[in-house]
Amino acid sequence: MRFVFFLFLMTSSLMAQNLRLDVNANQVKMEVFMLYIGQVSEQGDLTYDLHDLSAQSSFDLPYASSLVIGIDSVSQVLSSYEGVFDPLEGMYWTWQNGYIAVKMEGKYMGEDFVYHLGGFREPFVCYHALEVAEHSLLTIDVDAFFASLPPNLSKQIMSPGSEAKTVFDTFVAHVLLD
Amino acid sequence: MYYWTKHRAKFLIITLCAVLVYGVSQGERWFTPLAQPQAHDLNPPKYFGDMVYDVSSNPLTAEGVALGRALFYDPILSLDSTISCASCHSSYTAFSHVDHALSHGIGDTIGKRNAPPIQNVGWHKTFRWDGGLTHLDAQVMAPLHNATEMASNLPLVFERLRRSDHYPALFEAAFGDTSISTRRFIDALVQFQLILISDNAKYDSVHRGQAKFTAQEKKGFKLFKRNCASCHKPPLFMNNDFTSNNLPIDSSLMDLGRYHVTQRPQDSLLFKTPSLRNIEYTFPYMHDGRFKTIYEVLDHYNSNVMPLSDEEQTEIYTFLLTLSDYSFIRNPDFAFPR
Repeated sequence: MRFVFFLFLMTSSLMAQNLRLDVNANQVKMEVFMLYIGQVSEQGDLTYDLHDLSAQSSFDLPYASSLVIGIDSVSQVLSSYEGVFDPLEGMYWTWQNGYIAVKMEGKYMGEDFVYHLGGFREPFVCYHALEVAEHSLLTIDVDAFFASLPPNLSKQIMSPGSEAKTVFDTFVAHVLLD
Repeated sequence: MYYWTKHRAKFLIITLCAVLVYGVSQGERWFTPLAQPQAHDLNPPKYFGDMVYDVSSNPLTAEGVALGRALFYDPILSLDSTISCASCHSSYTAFSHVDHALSHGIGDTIGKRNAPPIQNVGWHKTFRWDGGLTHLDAQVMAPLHNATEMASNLPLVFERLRRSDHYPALFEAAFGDTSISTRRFIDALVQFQLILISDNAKYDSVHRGQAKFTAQEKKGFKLFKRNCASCHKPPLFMNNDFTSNNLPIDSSLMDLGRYHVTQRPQDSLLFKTPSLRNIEYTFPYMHDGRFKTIYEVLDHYNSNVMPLSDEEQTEIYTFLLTLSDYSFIRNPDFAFPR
């Protein structure tokens, strides 16, 4: 009984260890901002959540020592089409299979942009792993991300490929751990 | 509290009576459990090899197939309720869109490609001419959302299905309750498509030792094996791969095929090798339907890839007709449900 109580304490203390996620977007008007974050368990299993970051700019993620942004290729192809993978969530491409990893729509410097970033085919895979370790704050610096996008790049990217990959790589470079 | 203790027995008896009366009023329904969906066996011929689709992930039932069939033939799937899957995939032509080079969708908008037949889809690794879909489950959503096909969306369709007077019962029969979800919608439509197995052409009868090729067909098969079979590999007459057949690009369509999916330069102008089963019924030919007859196709290959005499072309043509499966295109179980 004591042992069970000890286990309970251990688990609850682990549960309490949260990762704070902040979005820094003052220069950019984000009308749509959705992304998949996967949490890797100790056993290496992935659990995905779909986050609507246009609705809240700061919230807690349950603790995981490593995270992924985007969805692994197996889950994309052999999709359950349930829960966060339900195409009703608006993250599914229909003309090809697979999911948008990060969906961003809004206005930057007076110009509309639509970035639907994703893809599971090499070499344009939009999938990024993050080692969280002892960190407790994850900041998505949207302002810095937009400021460092190549200026000649299209403002409407809605299919996988080299442009989506460029924007995705720039995006994940501005997902910072503190 | 005292009141409850004193009258507990009475309460219990009254409750029991009420339950009994309700039970009797429900008649048979009360006493017989809900009917279980009946398993539907596919029994494909062994020489087709293993199916690519994992049927254990979506076990077929008679009720699931019936629901899928109802959905397949129902125009309420399209935005303006005018187009069903069968509009471009007619059972009478091996589920292809005969007479239209490029298939048309709602409001007669013209698409970019020729609708392929639906047959033996359980053995396909990819779908669409460019292979953009790598799973049969995913295929369900493509035409539904395409602006030049059904221009529809799942929330709209689900709303209509929930309001309909017969779909909730069909979902209940297939899946145990009336709830309508993406998963169930996909499973049912896939189940119906999986039963569309064409395995009863003359070629199959010969393969099973129940018939013999004519001398001309035999010669044609020999020529076919030498010239065509590396891509159109028997017994399914496809290879689950992408090839270029030296067709010049149509400058108005600018369709680069596989390249649109992979963005690799070497994939430019590659298209999925179509199966040649039921080729007699599925005209016009090629991804953009540019050839109306099999002879035009043979002419194209003759001048580009393989020089064949007129006689040899006729022999190949004769063999290709042995891939026609009349029992498939006239199967009442596949046609519009009446």
